[in-house]
Formats: sequence, structure tokens, C-alpha cells
Amino acid sequence: MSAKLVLTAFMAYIIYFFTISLQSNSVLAWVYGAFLLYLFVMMLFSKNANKYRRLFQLVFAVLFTVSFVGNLYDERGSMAITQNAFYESEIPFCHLVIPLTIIPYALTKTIIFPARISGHYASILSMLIIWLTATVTIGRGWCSWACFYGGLEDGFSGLAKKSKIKLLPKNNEIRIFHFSFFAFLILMSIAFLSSIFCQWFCPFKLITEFTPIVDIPSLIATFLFMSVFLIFIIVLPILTKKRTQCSILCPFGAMQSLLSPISQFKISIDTEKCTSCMKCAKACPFSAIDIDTIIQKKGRPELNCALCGACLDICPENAIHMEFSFTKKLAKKCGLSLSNKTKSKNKIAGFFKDLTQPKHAFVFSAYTFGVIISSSLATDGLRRIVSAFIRALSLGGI
Amino acid sequence: MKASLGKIIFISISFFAFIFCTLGIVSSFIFGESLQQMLNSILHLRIYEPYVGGKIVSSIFDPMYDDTGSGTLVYPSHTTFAEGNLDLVLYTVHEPVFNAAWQDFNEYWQLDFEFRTGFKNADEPNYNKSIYVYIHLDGKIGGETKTLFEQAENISFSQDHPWHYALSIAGKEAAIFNSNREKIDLAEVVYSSDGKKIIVRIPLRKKELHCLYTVETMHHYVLVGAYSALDFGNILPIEKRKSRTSGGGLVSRFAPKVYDVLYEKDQSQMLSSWNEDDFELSILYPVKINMKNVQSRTPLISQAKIKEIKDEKKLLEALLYKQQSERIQNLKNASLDSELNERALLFLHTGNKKEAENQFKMLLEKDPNNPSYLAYIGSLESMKGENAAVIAAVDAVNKGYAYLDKAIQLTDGVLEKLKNGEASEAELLHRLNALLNRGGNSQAVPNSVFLKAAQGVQDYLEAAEIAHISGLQILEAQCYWDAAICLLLDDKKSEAGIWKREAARIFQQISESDLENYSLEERQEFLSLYLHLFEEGLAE
Repeated sequence: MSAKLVLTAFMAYIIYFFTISLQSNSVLAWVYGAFLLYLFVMMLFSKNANKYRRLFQLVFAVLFTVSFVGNLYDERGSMAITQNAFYESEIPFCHLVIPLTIIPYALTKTIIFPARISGHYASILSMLIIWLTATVTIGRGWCSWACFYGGLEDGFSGLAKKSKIKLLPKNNEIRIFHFSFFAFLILMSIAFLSSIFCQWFCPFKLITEFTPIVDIPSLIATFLFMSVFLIFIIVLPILTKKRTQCSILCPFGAMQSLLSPISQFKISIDTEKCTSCMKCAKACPFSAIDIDTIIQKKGRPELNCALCGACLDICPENAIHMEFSFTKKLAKKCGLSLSNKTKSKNKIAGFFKDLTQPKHAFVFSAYTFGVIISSSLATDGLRRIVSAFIRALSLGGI
Repeated sequence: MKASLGKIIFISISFFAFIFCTLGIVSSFIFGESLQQMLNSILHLRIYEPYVGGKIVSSIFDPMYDDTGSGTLVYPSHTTFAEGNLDLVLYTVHEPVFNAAWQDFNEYWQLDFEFRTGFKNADEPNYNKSIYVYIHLDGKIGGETKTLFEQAENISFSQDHPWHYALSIAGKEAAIFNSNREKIDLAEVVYSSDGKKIIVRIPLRKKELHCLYTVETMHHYVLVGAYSALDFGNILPIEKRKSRTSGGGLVSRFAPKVYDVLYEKDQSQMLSSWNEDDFELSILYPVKINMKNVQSRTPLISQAKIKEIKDEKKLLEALLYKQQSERIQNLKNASLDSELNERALLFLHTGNKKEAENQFKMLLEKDPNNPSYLAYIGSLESMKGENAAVIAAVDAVNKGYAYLDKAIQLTDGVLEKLKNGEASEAELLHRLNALLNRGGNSQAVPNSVFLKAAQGVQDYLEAAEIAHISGLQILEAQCYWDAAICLLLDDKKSEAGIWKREAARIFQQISESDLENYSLEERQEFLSLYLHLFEEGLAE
């Protein structure tokens, strides 16, 4: 309990600094800050952290969209990419492009995307720093805790009560397709020295910026990205209750899955406790737990686990845990048994043990990432919504 | 015992992993700017050239404030022409590009033109320039020495470098012609959102232009006139007196009708080389462009000279410190506001920030809306963040900006007043203090956290304009330099280069006789700027 209170106090400090102090102590920053702290407290103290994580991601995704599109209209008067922005390398760089630029960079020493190198929140270097930090800390946990697009799928997947299409038996095929598509995108990016995903497939153009339709290829690209948005962000998540774009198309997700062994956290399934009820497999929005994962007693989800925590919350046997990636090896070296759950008699040791519980550490780290990433964009989005609301009221004569 | 030790080790390592994650995440944002610099020093990132116009082969700076043609021309009185609109400051030539993805043309050649000022109003852009680029390909025979359209620019070209291609940019339209005056193709014209920069992409789909891929050196003539859709060659005529439909300042009917030409030195002599008696127009000389084997020219900088300047600066600083300390003593019993203000400033300059703050706060109590006091207190508040803990630092900077923004707000409109000859000396001083303090602050705080570099550029450029009108040359040059530093913080290297060169140009105008009349403070400023310019090879 005291460890949780300490973590809450630290989170309040982080929220105050990034969300309130850096946003000039505005009223809306305080409102958003209070909301963030409420979510964190609920994540820590309730047994349904995933529910509050989803709420955070949904709110962030909506406010991000409002802020991004609002800024585009302020600067350019439309959501269309202007030639000037393109020629002057002023296109915002997002994490989805990173995997497609790495090999072309190694070959040409250049970045195949017309974005600013530094000095901006959406510059190449700032996104690279964020990516590197995410990779060595929370790994693919980025997708479920800090990605500014992921919340949309989370939101739509929560609309239906039950899934109409069962993807569980096809999990393996989904993964194979995801990694194959990822390989295809990389090969195409090398062949054409162009970020093929952004050019043709990225569904988030519909909520950020897009190339205006000026010829047949741009018409096809527009048709493609609108279809991908409709199918993978709206329809399939509603029908399957899964994050389909993240599990099938997203190149960043695929890359982070491959890099997940570097990160500090992973999920472990206690095969002795597991009763193979499959609730975790059904609940996993990233299709990372297969029937085979459970039957073959693999003891951990598949490579594409995004550490969202849905399985942890739903497991009736408490058989699923978050752990540090080094936990098992270290415990063996230290001669400790992980199954030993006795409480420490020493209060200080007990406090530290509680504080460093992998689940607490992960939720704290991942949420810190989300809080920082969201702070300015979400506050700006909130400001735009409130001012639009006030304008609407004043126009309505109220 | 062994089990307890194992437990302690386990908990400690888990604890460190937790701290590593949390601190790593938080630090990656707080120290984002330094980390970005560090990462870039390893990766040396640049954008794949075909996206951004191709590799730059030449960037030629043209002096500012030379948009008077042969020295007498004035802009038309039509409201679309804002001061500096026709003043070319930078011309950039790229290498021709092939196989460019995600672009309108797969094969193109890009030329960039940057001007001193842009659109008056970004919502109603004014496309008021008529630009001609005449291109001589070295080694190619033939060519033309008269202009593309008769009676347009009123100019002729060097016999040694007749042009083979001419690019005409009229407002938003552009086309490339051969020396037989036949149109080869249309070119794409893109204006930057502020209107200062024009990017022209010439498609290289026509076989006639393919020689541009292989040419090693060429010579360019770049001419800037005022746009008119109705006149010869889309160039607005020049008359003795300016009007809505003509520029002013015509001294001869042989005088060129261009306001600026690309020439690194003084263009007026070249543009006034016409001969009325022999009916000869002024002859222009081109600028050489190396298209292949381009190596960055790093000037050799004498380290001994740098040491010499630094030593001189140190000596001057010591002298100044002594003088200022004595003056503080003299002002010990000061009671007048002007003396108290001087004392506060002296405290600030001698590094006694606490005393300076006390003095300024005392003065501000008496005069709560004094922009200069507000500006200095703003800077001092912000400086408190320098060695403070992160949250305290952010609070200090925010508090500082509250004062600084108020100082700027209180002095808004002074530049316009100055242009109309209505600004008082006190108003000017207040505005300069507000701008320089806020600019300095924007330069000092990390841009990745506060995003203030762009605001810093605006502040310094306005301060430079005030200094220019008021004839304060050192301040003007210093402001251009500081604006360039803010631009670098905002990752705008080419624009920073323009202002650095302008700082160097103004600096070079300061004569030794001026220097003798300078106070110690001014000489110290002069030396600081000299050191910066010398280190970058911009001053001798």
C-alpha cells in the first residue's frame, strides 16, 4: 500500500511537471493533469488496469487528432500536404516510418522521408530518441501505452459487446502475414528509396494529413488509405474486438515485436496454475496468445505481445504476471524461488519489494511515457474543443 | 544468510531496472535537445536528396538592401509591393535529380530563391516578382547576349558567357526557353508559406534539357524585376516617379529595369554601365556554378588570431568591469530613477544578479508598467532557472516570460511609429530592451522544451530593423547574428547563413574611425561579434 502511495506521489510530480508546469499552468492543463492522475490511481489500486489504460489511450488519440488537425488548419488551411511543406522537409515524422528508413539509411546515409532533422517535436531525431528509449525500456509496450494512434482501435473495439468474427484460430496466420507484410514494406522501401507505407497504406492519413488528389496514383493512394482506415481501424476492430491494424499492418509494431527481447519487461504465464480456459487468448487485442501457446505450455505470449495487460486482468487463476526480462535468470543466480510469495518481515525490504514489483514498475514507466507524449498535444486538443464549444454557445446566443 | 543476500541483490537489481526505465524515459524528454545533438553527431542525418531538390551544389549570398537596381530605383507604389520584396538574398542551385519517388516529376532540376521579405499578408499572397535566370553552359557553343524578350529588363550579357537557356518566373508561372527563344517546358513554382522563398523545379523530361545532367560548370545571371502581367517580358516599367503601375527613380531610358541581380559585390557599378552615346545597354557578368566535384569550402582560420582577439576581449572586459565597479560606487547614494536604473544595469553587467533584481523590482514598484524594468526582471527571473532543479527551472522560465511578454505587449507598434518618424527616444529604448531581453531568453532556453527559437528570430530581426533605422551598426550586426543563432536552434541552417552574412556585411562597414569613438561597452560588443564572425571565416 505504501509503495503504491509513493508511486502515486511520483506520478503526480511527473504529471505536474510535464502536463501542467510546461503548459503554462493553464486551467485546462490542470483538468487534464487531474484526469491523468485519476487514471493512474485507478490503474494501481483497482484490479482492472487495462480498462483505465484503454480509456487513457482513447482520450489521447481523440485529443491528438483534434490538436494535429487543428494545427494543420492553422498553418496550412487544410489537411492536405502542401508542396512547400514537402519540398522544405516540413512533413511531421512519426514512429511508423522509422522501420522503413533504417536500411535505406544504412545504404545511402540519408533518411527517405522529407521531415525536419531536429528542433521540432515531430522531427526525425526527436522521434528516434523516443523510439530508442521505448525500445530499451517498455519495448512494444509503446503500442498499448503511448502510441497516439492506438487508442482509436481500442475505442472502436470496445463498441461491440461480443466479437462477431473469431480470430483466435487464425492468430498464427495473422502473425505470419504481419511479419511478411513488414518484410515486403522494407524491401519496397529499399527498392524505391521511398517510405512505401506512408505513400500508399498508412490509414492515419485520414486523421493527420494526406497528399491531395492530383493524378491517378494519388487517387489510388487516397482510396487505399481510406479503405484501410475503414476496414482496419473501424470495421474489423468492432467485429473482432482486436486491434487489427496494429496486429496486421503496422510496421512499427512488427519491428518492436522483433526488438522486444531488448526491453526490460515481459509477460509470463504460470503453466502450473493455468487451467487452459483461454480467456486470456480471447481477450488479447494483439492476437499474441494462441490456443497453441496455452496447450503447448509455452509459458509466455507470442513475440507480438504489446504488454497491454488485458490477460493479466482477466485471468481467473492469477496465472499471468508481468516480470522483468531478467527475472528468471537472476532469481536462479540469487538462489531464489519465484513461487515463494511470503511477505518480507523487514518493513523496508517489503516496501522495496512492493515498489519494484514488475507490474508496478511497468505501469509506472509505460504510463510516464504516455503522460509525457500526450501532455502538450492533449492539452492543445482540449483547448480547441473547449474554445469550439464556447464559440458554438456564443453563436447559438446562449 | 545467503538467501537474504540473494534477495537483497534481486530487489536491488529490480529497483535499478525500475529507476533506469523511469529516469530514462523522463530524461529522454528533458534532455531531448542534447540527446538529439549527440545522436546526430554519430548519425549525421540528412534527407534523401531527391525529396528536397537534390544535392546543393551552390549557395550564393547576395547582399541585402541592394534592391535599388543601379542605385536609384524605388518600388512601385502599388500596395502589393512590400519593402524588401524584390531584394534577393540567397540563390541556391541543386544537382539535377532523377528517379525521385513520391514527387510530381521524377526528373527535375531545382533552383531556390530567397528574398529579404515575403508576403505582406499570408492569407492574401502577392506574387509580385518577375525573375529571369539566364544560363550559360561552359563548353557549349552558340548562345545569345540579348534578353529573352525585347524591351523587358533593358540589359545585355557578357560576350564571354552568352546564355543557352533562360528561365522566366513571372508571378506563379515559370517556363524554360532555349536560346532560339522557343519554350521548352513549363516549370513548377512553389512559394514558401511566408513568401520569402521561391522553389522552382524544372522538369527534365525533354531531351533538350538532358545535357544539364552532365554539364560540369555553368554561369548564371539572375535578375529580379517587378511583375506585371501586361508589360514586355512581364516586367513592370520604371519611370522617373513611382506610381501604382511603374517603379520610380529612372535616370536614363537605357537604365536596367531590374531591382536586384545576383552579384556578391556591389551591383550598382555593373548595372549603371550603360552608354547613352553609343546606345549601349549595361552589360551583366554572371556567377560561376560548379555542378560536379563540389567540395565544401572551409576557410582556413588562424588560431593565433582567435587567441589574440580573445586576449584583447579579456583585457577589455577587465577594464570595463573596473570602470563599472567604480561607477557603482559613485552611484551609491543615487536617488534619481535614471541613476537607480543605471545602477541596476551595472549590477547586472557586473554579475551581481541579486542586487540588480532588487534594484529593478524597487523601480518597478514605482513604475509598474515600465517595459524596460519588466524586461530586465523577466530576464533575471528566467536566469534563476539556470542551475535550479528541473521543475523550478521551468517555473522560473515561465515566470520570466510573463514579464517579458508584458514588456513586448506594452511596446507594440513602436517600429511603425519609428518608420513614420513619431517614436520618441524613450519608446525606442523600451522596445529595444524588451526585444533584446526576450530574444536573449529565447536563445538561452532549450528549444525542444519551450519552442521559443522562432520567437527569438522575430524579436532579433525587429531589433535589427530598429537599429538599422537608428544607425546603430554594431547592434544591428549583433542582432542579425543572434537571429541566425536562433534559426540554427530551429534547424533552419540556410536562413541562418543569410543573417550571419548580413551581420558580417554590416560589421565590415564599421570603419576604424568609428571604432575610436566607441565606448568600452561598444568596443566589447564589437570584439565579441568579431570573434564570432572570425571563427566562422566571415571576417578578416
